[in-house]
Amino acid sequence: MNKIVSYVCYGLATVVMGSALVYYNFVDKKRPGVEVWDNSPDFTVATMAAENDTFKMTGNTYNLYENEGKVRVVNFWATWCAACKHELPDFDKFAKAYPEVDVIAICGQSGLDKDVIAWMNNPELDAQKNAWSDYSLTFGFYGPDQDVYGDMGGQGMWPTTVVVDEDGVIRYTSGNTLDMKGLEEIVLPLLND
Amino acid sequence: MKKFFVKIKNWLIRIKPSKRKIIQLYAALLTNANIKGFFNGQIYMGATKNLCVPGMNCYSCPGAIGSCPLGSLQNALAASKTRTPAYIFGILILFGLLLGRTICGWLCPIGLGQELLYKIKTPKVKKNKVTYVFSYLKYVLLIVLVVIIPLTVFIPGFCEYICPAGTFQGGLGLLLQKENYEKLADLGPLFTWKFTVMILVIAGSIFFYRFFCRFLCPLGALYGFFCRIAMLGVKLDENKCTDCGLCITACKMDIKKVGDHECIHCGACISVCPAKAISWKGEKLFVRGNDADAPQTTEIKPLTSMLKRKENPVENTEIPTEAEVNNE
Repeated sequence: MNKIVSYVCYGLATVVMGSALVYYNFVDKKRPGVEVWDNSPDFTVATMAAENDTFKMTGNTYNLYENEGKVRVVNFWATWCAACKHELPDFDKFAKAYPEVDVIAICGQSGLDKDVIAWMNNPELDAQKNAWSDYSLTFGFYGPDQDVYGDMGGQGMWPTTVVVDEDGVIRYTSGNTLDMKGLEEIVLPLLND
Repeated sequence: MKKFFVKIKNWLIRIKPSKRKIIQLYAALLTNANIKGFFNGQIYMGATKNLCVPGMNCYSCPGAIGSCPLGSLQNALAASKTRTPAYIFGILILFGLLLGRTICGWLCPIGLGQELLYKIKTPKVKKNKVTYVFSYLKYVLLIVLVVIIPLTVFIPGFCEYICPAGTFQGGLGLLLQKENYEKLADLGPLFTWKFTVMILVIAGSIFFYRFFCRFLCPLGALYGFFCRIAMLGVKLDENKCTDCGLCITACKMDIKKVGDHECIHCGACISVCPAKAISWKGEKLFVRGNDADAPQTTEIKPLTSMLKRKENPVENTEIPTEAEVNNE
């Protein structure tokens, strides 16, 4: 009887390991990435903004295709991502310096909208102590029922920035952090085209 | 040619891993089953990443299919003002109640890595009073870096400042892919510090048995709280124990008693106990009684026989039956 139990256990262990190796390496398909010079996929996200120093969902949405004709800088960040929060001040500085560019910072994979709003209204929770109410860029949000980050080619690196030109073509996509100088180097040539 | 194959066969027999080592290797491979991640430089982001694995394994390891429980705990505590961390508390309690520090001894990939490093032939530092005192450092790290820092500064303190598993699996695991070479320019003093900590832990693991587990691992500290109530692990029958201390001498961890909060339930003490006072919890689920109760014709229990060490100093010691004792 004990031998039978042993063989059953060995068999189950082999099946589990074999299934896992096959699934993760052959069956589970990585979402194809979105490359530079591809036409950008479209997305729609809810927007949030500060009103009397209190952040709330505006009830409006931002749609990428509806803003064709402008260069769009789409930054993906998360409340738990320290590197994301470190670079956002530079994105806001860029948005203030170049109002002709749409800069949208989309918060994703951070829970429900009420979680993100509560987080943004509680400055103690932000180790970087960003003054969100003073920001000029557009804040977007998507919840667990969407995967805008994946749709726009995100490959698991946070933050990720995608730059889309006036014709809707992707001109930059990377999981690197960017500062003001980096943004100017990428975006300004597109404005001059 | 035949001699070559004979040499290979003899080498394989000599290094034949124990059952515990096989289970550790199995757990390490299953925890990091996304092998393609090591080649394409990307971490797995699918559904199973929402589940915690029992041992320490960095979320950012390219092969990881689940989340690290310690990283999840810190991030959940950092976000606890907006959401109650019920899931991670529940998972840790479940793991603790079921397995306790058996996870450390049997399932943790980082524990396996340290045991393999310890096999490097160098002089070893044996446990002593100093190492026993230092074993309490991990509780300090648990309280300060895993609990207080996330609750007050809202960052995962241990992950951010200490964790060598993160540096090795996540940091180096991703940076050494050519797709990610451009990110090397983003490295700064924090990476330098963590890289130094990782090198110290690796070096320490060569000279000290399970250096990280004994002195630095907050997850082991956490699971240690369940030592008395965990369903699986080793247990000591105090009625049979003669306090000879052979178990403590044989054990490489800083235990004071078999099955205490430092015990990783590897089972090394079971075979050295002359009084057969040490056994596995839940033994009766798999076997018929223990040696003292079963009739002499009882065959060796499968679970215990799985743990017989090759170099067993106290081998085949049988407890006399009641009949033999009475005849004496």
